[in-house]
Amino acid sequence: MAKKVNAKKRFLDLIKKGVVVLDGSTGVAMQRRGMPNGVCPEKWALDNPKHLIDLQKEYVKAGTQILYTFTLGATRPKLDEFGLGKDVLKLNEGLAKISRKALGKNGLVAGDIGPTGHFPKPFGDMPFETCVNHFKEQAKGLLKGGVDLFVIETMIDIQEARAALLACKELSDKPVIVSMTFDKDMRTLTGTDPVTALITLQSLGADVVGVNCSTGPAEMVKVIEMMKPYAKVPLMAKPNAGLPRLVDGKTIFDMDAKTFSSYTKPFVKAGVNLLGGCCGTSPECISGITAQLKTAKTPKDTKISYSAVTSARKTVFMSQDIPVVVVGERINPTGKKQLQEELKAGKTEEVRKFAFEQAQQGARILDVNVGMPGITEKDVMVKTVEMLSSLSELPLCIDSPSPDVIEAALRIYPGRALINSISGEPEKMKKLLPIAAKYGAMFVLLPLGGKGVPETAKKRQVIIDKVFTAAKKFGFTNKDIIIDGLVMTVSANQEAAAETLKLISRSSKDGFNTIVGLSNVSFGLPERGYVNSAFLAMAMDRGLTMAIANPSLDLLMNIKAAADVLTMKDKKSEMYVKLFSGHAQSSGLKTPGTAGPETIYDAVVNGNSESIRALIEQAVKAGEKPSDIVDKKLIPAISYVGDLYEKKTYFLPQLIASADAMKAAFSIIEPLLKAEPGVKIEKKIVLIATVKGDIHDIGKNIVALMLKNYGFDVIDLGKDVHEFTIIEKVRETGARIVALSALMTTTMIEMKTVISLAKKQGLNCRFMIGGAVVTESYAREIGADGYSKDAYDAVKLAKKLSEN
Amino acid sequence: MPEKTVYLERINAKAPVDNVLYRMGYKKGKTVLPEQQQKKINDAINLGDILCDLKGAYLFLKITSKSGNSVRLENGVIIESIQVTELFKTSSDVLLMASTAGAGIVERRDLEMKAGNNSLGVILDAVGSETADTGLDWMQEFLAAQLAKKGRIITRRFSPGYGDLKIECQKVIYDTLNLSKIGISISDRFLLTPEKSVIAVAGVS
Repeated sequence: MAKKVNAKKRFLDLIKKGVVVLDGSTGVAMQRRGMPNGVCPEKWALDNPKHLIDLQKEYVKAGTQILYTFTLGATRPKLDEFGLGKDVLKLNEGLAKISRKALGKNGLVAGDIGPTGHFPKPFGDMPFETCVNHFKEQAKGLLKGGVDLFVIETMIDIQEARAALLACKELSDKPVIVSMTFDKDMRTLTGTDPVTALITLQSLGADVVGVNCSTGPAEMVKVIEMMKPYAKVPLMAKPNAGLPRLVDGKTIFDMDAKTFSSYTKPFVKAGVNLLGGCCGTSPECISGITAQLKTAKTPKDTKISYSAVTSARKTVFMSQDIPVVVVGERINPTGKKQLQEELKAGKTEEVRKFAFEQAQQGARILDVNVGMPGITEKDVMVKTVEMLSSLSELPLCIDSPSPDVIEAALRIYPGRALINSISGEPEKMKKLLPIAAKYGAMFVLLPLGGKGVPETAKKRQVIIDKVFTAAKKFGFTNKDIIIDGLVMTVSANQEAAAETLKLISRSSKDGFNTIVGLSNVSFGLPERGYVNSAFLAMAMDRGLTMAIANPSLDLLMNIKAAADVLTMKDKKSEMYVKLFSGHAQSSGLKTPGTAGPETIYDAVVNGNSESIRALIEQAVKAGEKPSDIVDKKLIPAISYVGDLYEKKTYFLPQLIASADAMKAAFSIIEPLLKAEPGVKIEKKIVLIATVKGDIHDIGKNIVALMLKNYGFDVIDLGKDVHEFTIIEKVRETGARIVALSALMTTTMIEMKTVISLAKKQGLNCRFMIGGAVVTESYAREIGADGYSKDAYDAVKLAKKLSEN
Repeated sequence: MPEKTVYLERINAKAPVDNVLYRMGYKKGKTVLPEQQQKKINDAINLGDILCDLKGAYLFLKITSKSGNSVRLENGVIIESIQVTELFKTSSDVLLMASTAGAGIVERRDLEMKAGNNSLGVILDAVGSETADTGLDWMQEFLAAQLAKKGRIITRRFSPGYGDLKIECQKVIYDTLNLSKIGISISDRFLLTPEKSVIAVAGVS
């Protein structure tokens, strides 16, 4: 144990003394020293130790204080690529010993851990624990080789970085550096930005967080600048020697050592604490850094304090100075029959819908509660959290009474979650505080002590003090805890609201964030929305920072927006103005160049299926003849839409929306037409089908819709239709036009089969064909009478074929 | 390069809206989209994004031999195509890729069209198609960046059914990648289900 403490202490002492110098690139340098292409680098280095020792000694001579082992690709999945998976322990141990030898007595050896090349869930298929175990296996070898700390680097997926960090921390107390790789958009491959990565990893226990590879020093300074205001741990950077260029199939890094090391002072100014080099760098680059550091001025570290939760792609802050954060409450099966059924059946559509809608409606965090009878809560929670953490960018609030369920969810959640909740019940505290601390989660402190609900703010405060005292022992501060105001119903006790407000005031003054579950307050009262909204505004005045609510309630969300302005949380009223500025302008769509109330013609042109039925009913009621409506309004309108489509003024969804409106119109007008004296409806029959073997029918369906709107009697035979069925239907209906569709080269040949059969049987019908792979020349080749490139073209072709 | 197929259960990418619009014939500067229609189309695209469940798979394989019209891979698979062989002229490895937007988007499209909401249906169809392509773009871009560090480049990709690369080739790639693991099946006519699934090959030089 004493040895472990020493390793950490030595590391921290080193950082306290000033900016620590790391090493530079090893892989490319080893190639220059004779390592052939295509070999396993780790195996070659172990078999040829002199080259690695010489290079690492050069780095030490250049000023490197922490030397990385040459083990970036020494996890089992990576070594398996060379058939060396069984040698994980041997390679890591051996290479760690080489670095130890190269370093000598001073400095520290960092066991280097890199990506496995596979992705853990939720972004990949590798089970999270499998990923953790791969890293544990590597870390065991490194520990056996005597490393002083671990460095997890070049990570492109925050979840894989988390897996590696947990593996190292679960094996030993040695310090862990975690370094991510960001692309030019300042995101990792799976979408994490630098601040989110920092907050997630430092909460999970990383001793240093940083960035390496992918960019040159100029871009990387910006990453350090972004991270610094939120960094509670030291920051590291290992940039490439500029951006890579491919010349004659070789990667070239243009930046020379002098230029590279000239970025040392900007890095120090930005707040870096450990600095080295990645791809393309050399011992000369590291010498340059060492020299520059002698005259670099280190800025003073300032104490940082804030509250934030993260998802894989977003950070959400909470404070009294920013708008109240709404935690969307709808992912909860209580009282939701469809959600209950879906959760039981293992389906996720309803959860996905709630997640999306709540985000659209202004929720900043999603509460996830899947507790209900008939399911295994832990399994369903894990599945739901996995799905939501890849689907939604909003951080999650894990809501369960079960510590086991909470722990399972926190372990696989690729961010810093919020726990809902930890109460003052001794058993809950004992189980949940260590879990929250291990995974770095924030938590909602529920002031319940297991002996009923304390009625007064004073009694609740006693519980808060008790929980906070216990939490501090695990390293929590008031910024990591959100006090639940414990809202009780005013219809049972009218003083309840006042007690909650008192507690919010007190907790806010003590520097905590506060939260309320609003809807309880109005239970048993009519028009509950008013009471909930009024209570929210009052609580916000007392310092409330969060609310668990249904964001689809306009009244509540609008009052929140207004109260954010009045409590100066919404600076310059920007969000309020943005929310409401568009309202005055909303108006119905008019046909370009028209004014006044919408007409039947407008409704077709605008594709308004909702209004057209009522407009037609009004017109018929007013005495217009159905045939006049068709001839003077509907047909001219759809013809105008056709023109617009041909000129590209309209595109496909607009054309189809108009067709849908026509269809809606005909559903009312067709029976009336049949009853109108003197009107004789004679429609040309078109048989339409997707040919045998082909299951694609969207194109065919659109053509059918358009043909119907232009007065054809369309008989749709569906998809994957046998040639005999088509021929039989032609005989049966007397159709003169047959439209065939196919999407694939393997199925378009069936068109020829149908046409040949029809000709052989002497049928007097004409064939038109279409589909993604079909062409005019193919139509000619197989004896079709015409080809159409799209649905509107098909209408024109059908008209032409029916006239001839 | 991983010797086993890498499966991506959730690809963090959405189809670019411009691509979806372009697929449906939208012409910048020409097509006029009034505010209300624009909102409907945006809502439909957003719905499509929710319904898509983008997954992917990829695998690198060594090229063991090439002739004038075919490329043989280390697992014995032969890709027959003059165009592909030409494209892989300087390649030593092949990247096999597949992506799927999932069944949800297709099921909803069909439901909407059955209910007469054809406009929504065609938009969902376009979102599904573009999302599947976006999955391939995402994998190719990420792998290209990884390989660039090693001085290697990826050629443009080629899908079975295009040019002289026969659709039948879809089956051997399907089997090699074991795409049932990401919920894709293949018919005896080489059609992929879910419909919004795509397969492609690219060379690595």
